[in-house]
Amino acid sequence: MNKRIESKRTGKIFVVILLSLGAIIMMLPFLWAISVSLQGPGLAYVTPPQFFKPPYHFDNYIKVFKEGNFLRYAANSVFVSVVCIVGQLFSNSLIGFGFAKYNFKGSQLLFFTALCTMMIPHNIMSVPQYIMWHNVGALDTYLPMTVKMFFGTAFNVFLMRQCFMGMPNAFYEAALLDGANPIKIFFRIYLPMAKPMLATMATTTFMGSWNNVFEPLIYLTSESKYTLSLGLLYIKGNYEHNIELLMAAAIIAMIPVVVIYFFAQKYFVEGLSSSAVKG
Amino acid sequence: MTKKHKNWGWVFVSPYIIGFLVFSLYPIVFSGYISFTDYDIFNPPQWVGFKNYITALNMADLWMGFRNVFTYVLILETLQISIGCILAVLLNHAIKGISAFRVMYFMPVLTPIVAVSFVWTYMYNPMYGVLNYLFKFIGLGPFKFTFSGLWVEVVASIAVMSAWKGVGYTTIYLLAGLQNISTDVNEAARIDGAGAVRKFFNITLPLLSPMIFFLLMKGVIDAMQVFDAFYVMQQATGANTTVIGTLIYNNAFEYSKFGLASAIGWISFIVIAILTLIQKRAEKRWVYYE
Amino acid sequence: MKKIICLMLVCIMAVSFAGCGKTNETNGDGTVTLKLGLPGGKTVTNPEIVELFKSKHPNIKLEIDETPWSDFKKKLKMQVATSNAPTVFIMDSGYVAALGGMGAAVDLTDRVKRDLNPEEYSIALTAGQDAQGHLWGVPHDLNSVAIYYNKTLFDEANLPYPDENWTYEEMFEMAKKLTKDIDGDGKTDQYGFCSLNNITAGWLPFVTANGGVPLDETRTKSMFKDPKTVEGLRRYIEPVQTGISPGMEWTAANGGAIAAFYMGKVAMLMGLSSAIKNINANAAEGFEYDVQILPIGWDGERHCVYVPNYWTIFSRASEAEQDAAWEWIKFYLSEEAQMLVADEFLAGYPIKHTALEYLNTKESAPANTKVFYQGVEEYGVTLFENKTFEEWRPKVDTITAQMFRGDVTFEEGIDEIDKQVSEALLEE
Repeated sequence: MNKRIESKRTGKIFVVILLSLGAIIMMLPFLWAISVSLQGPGLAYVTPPQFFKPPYHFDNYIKVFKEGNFLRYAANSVFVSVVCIVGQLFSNSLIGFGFAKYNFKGSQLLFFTALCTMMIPHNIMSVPQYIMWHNVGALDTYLPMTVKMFFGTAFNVFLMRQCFMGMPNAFYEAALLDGANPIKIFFRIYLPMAKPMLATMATTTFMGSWNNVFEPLIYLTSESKYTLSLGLLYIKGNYEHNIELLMAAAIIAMIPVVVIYFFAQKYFVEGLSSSAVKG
Repeated sequence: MTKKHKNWGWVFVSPYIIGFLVFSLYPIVFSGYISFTDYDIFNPPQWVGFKNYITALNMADLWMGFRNVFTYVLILETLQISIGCILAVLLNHAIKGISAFRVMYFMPVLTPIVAVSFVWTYMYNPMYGVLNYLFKFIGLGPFKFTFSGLWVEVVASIAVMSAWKGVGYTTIYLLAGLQNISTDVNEAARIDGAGAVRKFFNITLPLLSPMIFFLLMKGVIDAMQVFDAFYVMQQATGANTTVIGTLIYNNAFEYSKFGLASAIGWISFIVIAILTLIQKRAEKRWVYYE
Repeated sequence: MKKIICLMLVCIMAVSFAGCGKTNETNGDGTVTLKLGLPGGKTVTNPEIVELFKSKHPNIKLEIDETPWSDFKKKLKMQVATSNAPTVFIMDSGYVAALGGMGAAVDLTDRVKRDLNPEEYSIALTAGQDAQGHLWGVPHDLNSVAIYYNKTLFDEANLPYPDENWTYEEMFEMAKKLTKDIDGDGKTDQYGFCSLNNITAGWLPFVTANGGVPLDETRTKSMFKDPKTVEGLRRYIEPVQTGISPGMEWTAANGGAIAAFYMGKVAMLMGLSSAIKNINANAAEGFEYDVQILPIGWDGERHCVYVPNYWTIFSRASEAEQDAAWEWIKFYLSEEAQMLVADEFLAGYPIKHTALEYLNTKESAPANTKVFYQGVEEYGVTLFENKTFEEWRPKVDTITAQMFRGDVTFEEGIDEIDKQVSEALLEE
């Protein structure tokens, strides 16, 4: 018995060593980015590469922060992200529930079309979409980025369906006998059970919307409406020749996502495992 | 069950149908129509029949694009799935601080591609980059990475970068899959006295195969449409590293040939659909369902 | 359930209020709203000019779009598709030619004739003319090509600085003497020259220096097989083959030719005037350099490649908006505004003679920058922009890169260039 505990312990140490090695490789680009962001100007192309070599220029961060309206952009990004998350949670859970619990004609066909839309290059769809939003007078608003979130996205619908399929149908029957209608059954019984999955979806939606550059770029014109990722693009244009400032800007923009992920990651895995994807 | 509630199903699903009709169907029909026209986005489209498709299929760049994109998908998916499986197994241990590791492996996924490209272009630099510097210590290289004039080296370098960026995503899904494998199965294997490696190949991998299949299918669909990674990482060294994504972009937004760009987009769609069908056909041979 | 629906409604309402009124042709109070596209924002256009214009034209309300330069084109495409583009905007010459070709730009010939005196301006004023005589844009700024040289490296090699009567052969001679293997490892560490793989400061100066042209007069036929053009391209490829210029891979790895120049790894560089900004921002303390006019060509004449960025008016804007846009352009080309362009070097030089004369009196870093705008006056050559410029230009670059690397032989490369350019020109 002791032997097994012993071998288990060495196994764990082995795992930690492997993971640490991997983590170093994964983190290397970030360390490198931080190192560059603290450099003085003109040091980018020297040999050997300099790694965290003093003096450190923390003022790079201040310089970037002063450029443009960073806080305003961040607030806009938060607003857009929150609307997207609300829309995604609401729509995908409803739709996923529909697909999971009701066996009706056409459900296969709908899934097939969802898969197909994923295969069409978005660059050829962007022009008609732009024309559409122009026709309803929604340019320079957040509508093009947010409205479609209230109608479900193929991949998340799929995850939600898997999640609800894993929940017993018996609750449904029982609630029906009690006289509850399907809407009530969905909100009172099934939705609360899907919490981990909802947390997962909220996180992925947040990441997607926070890092979305293309749509803000083509739809937004007023500077006061810029999102953070778009602001980053402007900073890139202004500091084309100063790599250290570009790095500082990239790191500032990344911090919120990393922090949120750190707190959400426990639910994240839990949610995914509840979906039990089976293809 | 719930047979009498069939219509409720449509109610629940209705947002999806409306969304599809409004946000997808019109753009799909539009770009399908445009692919049969000459359209410079300013003047009204002129019907030209199959001309754009014929032009596209006769373009040397289209076939170069498929060559590059297939190479990219092959390298990327191999790396992502294999490393993802190993990482998921490692991260599935109950060790103190494991959540910190999980965050670290996921961080690249959270990073915007523009920022990633700054860092990686800089790391890949054959003369001043940190990678060749490190490789020298273990007796490898020097490589030219994305600065090379050889398309294979460039495509492989970009695939490695994408794998680094995406492996955390694959890992998290596989980890979720692992947590669904009941402890009974693991317990049984242990009593059998199976070693860690044998257990991985004989038990874990088959049980994970539905998840792997799912990730592979989604991964191939996404990677076939790669655009950003090539757009931001390419260097002007003369290597032909066109991919379908850049080909569509250039024709649409640089040369104002939206008809041709749409035609290339639809050809790409057909190729991806065929690939997906092949995978679906092959599913039975290796995917294990409980 | 109710809560969620309420939340949704609130969100949607909040969002929809964000998008306020669309612009009319003329506003009720007699003012006109002018949509001004300023890609690159304050890094390209001096904001003082905008402020001045506002104070002088209270009846014109400005609505400014400052999308980054590199992304502006993409956005513009979408806007053109919906007739929603800025009324007047800055764009590079190739793109302006393409917009003109499809009818999206206003022909400014008559307006220029009516309101501007060509004698007060550089020849660049009408450089936006296509082969049929339509003028699709007037310059926002002027950039041209000259040779940058590192004074310190010339001193070290005991070479006199180039004078304005130099020839290409002399330049290559100097470059040979400036190419060195400093650490003795058998690899060159310092190059005399740096060949760029593009049109402006790359192959076009060599082709024109040899009396060649890329396209015929109508800009509809490839001239890449013309013996003079072929010879020019041969001379363009030569420096890399003889080793006085690095190859593309070395240049890319060193952060590009400009970085290689300010790091002192390249002694001479054929470059656009806009490179000054980059060099001055990044060069180490004590870096000494200057510029000299392009050498006299093999045909015994001098040719100075220049490329303006243009103001272009969108043809689907209303009459009133177009007039307001022309007011803006006229103001931009007035003495007052041109002096501001001259005062702060952002995207390029002004085009009004008085502003250029004023520049002559100012101290500049490097000292000899006047060669940039003086060269244009006497020896100016444009890039042969036409409707398909954006398509054939990168194709030439791809093949010349392969020629530099030796992936294709010189003759194969020429054939391929001629073939691909001819294919692209079919649209003309």
